[in-house]
Amino acid sequence: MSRAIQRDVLSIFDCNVPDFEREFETLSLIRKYDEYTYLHSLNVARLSIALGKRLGLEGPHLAELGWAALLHDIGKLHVPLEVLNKAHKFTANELAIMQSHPAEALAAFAKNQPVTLQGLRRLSAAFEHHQRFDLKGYPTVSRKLHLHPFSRIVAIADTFDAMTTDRIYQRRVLPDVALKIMSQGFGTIFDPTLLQAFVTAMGAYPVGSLVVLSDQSMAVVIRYPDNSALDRPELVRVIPQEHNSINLMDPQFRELKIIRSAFPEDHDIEPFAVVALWRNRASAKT
Amino acid sequence: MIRDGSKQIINLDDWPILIFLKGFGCSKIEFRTRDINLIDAWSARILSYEQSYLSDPDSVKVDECHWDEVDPHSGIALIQCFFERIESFRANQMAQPAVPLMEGPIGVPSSAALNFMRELETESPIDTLHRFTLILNEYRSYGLIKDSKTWSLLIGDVMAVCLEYGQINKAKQIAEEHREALSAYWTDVQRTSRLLASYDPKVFELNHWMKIFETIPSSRLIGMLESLLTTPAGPQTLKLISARTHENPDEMIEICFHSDSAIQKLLLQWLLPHWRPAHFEKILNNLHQSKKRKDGPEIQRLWILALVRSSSRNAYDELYEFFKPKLLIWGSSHPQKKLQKLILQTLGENPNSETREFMKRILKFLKGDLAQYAEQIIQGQGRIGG
Repeated sequence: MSRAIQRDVLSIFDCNVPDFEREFETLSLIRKYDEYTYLHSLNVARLSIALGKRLGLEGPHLAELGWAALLHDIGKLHVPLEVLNKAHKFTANELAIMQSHPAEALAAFAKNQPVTLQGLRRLSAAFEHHQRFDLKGYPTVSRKLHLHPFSRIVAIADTFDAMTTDRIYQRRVLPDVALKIMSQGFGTIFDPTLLQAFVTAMGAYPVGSLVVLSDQSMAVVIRYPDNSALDRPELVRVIPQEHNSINLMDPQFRELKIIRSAFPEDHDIEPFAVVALWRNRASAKT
Repeated sequence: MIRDGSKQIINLDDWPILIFLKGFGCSKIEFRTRDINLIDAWSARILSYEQSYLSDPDSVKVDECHWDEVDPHSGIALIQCFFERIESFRANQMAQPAVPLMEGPIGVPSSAALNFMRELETESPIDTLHRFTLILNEYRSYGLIKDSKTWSLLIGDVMAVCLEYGQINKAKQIAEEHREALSAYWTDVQRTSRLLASYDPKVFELNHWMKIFETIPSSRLIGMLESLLTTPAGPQTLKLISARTHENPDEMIEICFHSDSAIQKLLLQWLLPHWRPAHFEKILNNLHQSKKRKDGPEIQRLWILALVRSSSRNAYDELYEFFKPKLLIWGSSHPQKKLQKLILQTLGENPNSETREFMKRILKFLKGDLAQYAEQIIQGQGRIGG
């Protein structure tokens, strides 16, 4: 079992490694097959776990959710790489192959390990993560049974990560815009309660966003202090560079507004380094 | 703004569809038409892209969508979207942004969190299995079964989970719905073992439980017996074979005739009530084979009992042959005496008038302890010593 994979997983959630030996093996198969799918799976797990924590999940429930998210794309092991990474439009046949991956998850899973009850719950998420909250989407189903709670979380995390990740054929959508677009699926594509929780958990401009302010300066969102509004976080100006943070909830900044977000790499900014630096400074002060 | 033809600037963030376009890098849209049908057609198309994108972001590629509404006659774009070509984005320099931190200011309302937890915690194994049974049917109807072996592993494993949670009826239902698929499952000893070990049926559940294993050929079951006996599946395997023997003895009888001694020894115990005259010749043949192979006394005893059960009159005639004096070759009398003793022991277990008649017929050939034992049986007494 790869130590790197163990480290990746344990950085997201706690689990007793020997209890999940087969799951680790399956994850290493995904990594060997397609690095992008592996990294995407880690991200989906990160987002799902963060949302799960917000909902009050802990212990074994959290580990179950984590594994459901990590293995949600296991069916892609059955999608040929040339289809999986195709930069141009899919043919009808390729699209059908691509869209078979949730269903193929069943085969991929059963091939790799004997199925247990926990496995079935995980598999539900793999099978259902492209089904919509209103049960449309794919695979097409005729049942009236609503999606498994883990499937509903994973569907949100999966869509958000896919939207906010650069692809060889198109640039990513910025996180705040992705959240706005996702809101169009409120109650139809996504579980409204969970989507609401996801959006509020992120804030209108998630921590780490690079934003353009109404005075044309640029800043990085470093945190949301308690009781702040969704679109009034605390920031650190990076263009022009400043050392002190600005809490938009502070009355002295009430005229200042966030106009839009921007791609950090277009401005040679590393927002998470800014966040980390500010946090280190803040903790040194305390 | 559109209907009266006046020019008005709106913010892309103010109209949901436009946010979607903005996400893809669209910075401006020019409407050069007042035709509401055209605008509706355009917005319906963009909306369909948005819905596809939300269902699966990988399915929509910016360069391949028809963002503009073009006049079919003139070829002029009546609604035109302008996309920024962002210089810094090059496919070979893709950024790997970290996942945003979920540190928003507003928590989940406690009632929503509570409902979610309740939903998760009240999900019983039965609910999970119900969901998964539906998924299996959807998978099948989706026409995705390409690898019958893997499909059968999945079906069988789900049945095993059903049994692990005491859901015999559910497992039986799956087995009946996927009869053909299961044939490949039975070739996997480990998984078959798991399925067998997953539930120990009570007597009144036996009929339902057996249906789960209906498609496993008895010959395969018997073939796996040796490897399963020492596993947790052992007791259930024996239970299944025993029940099958009771239900369809003819099949087991045929298997028994062609199995090795170890299997025969097991099967013969269950088959005892099922022997009929039609089996006589094969039983006799097997008794001779067993003798030739120098099988242990227990298996020979069982063949003797089978012989008597199948046709007692013919059996006593054939057994008589084992006592009739033959031309003795030096050294061969001892094994014969051992068999004679075994025959007497076996017949003496439950003597009846036919047994006594037989003892009288062979008494003249017997000496020593064998003669003494035959006399005891004739007089309706005692058993022969070890």
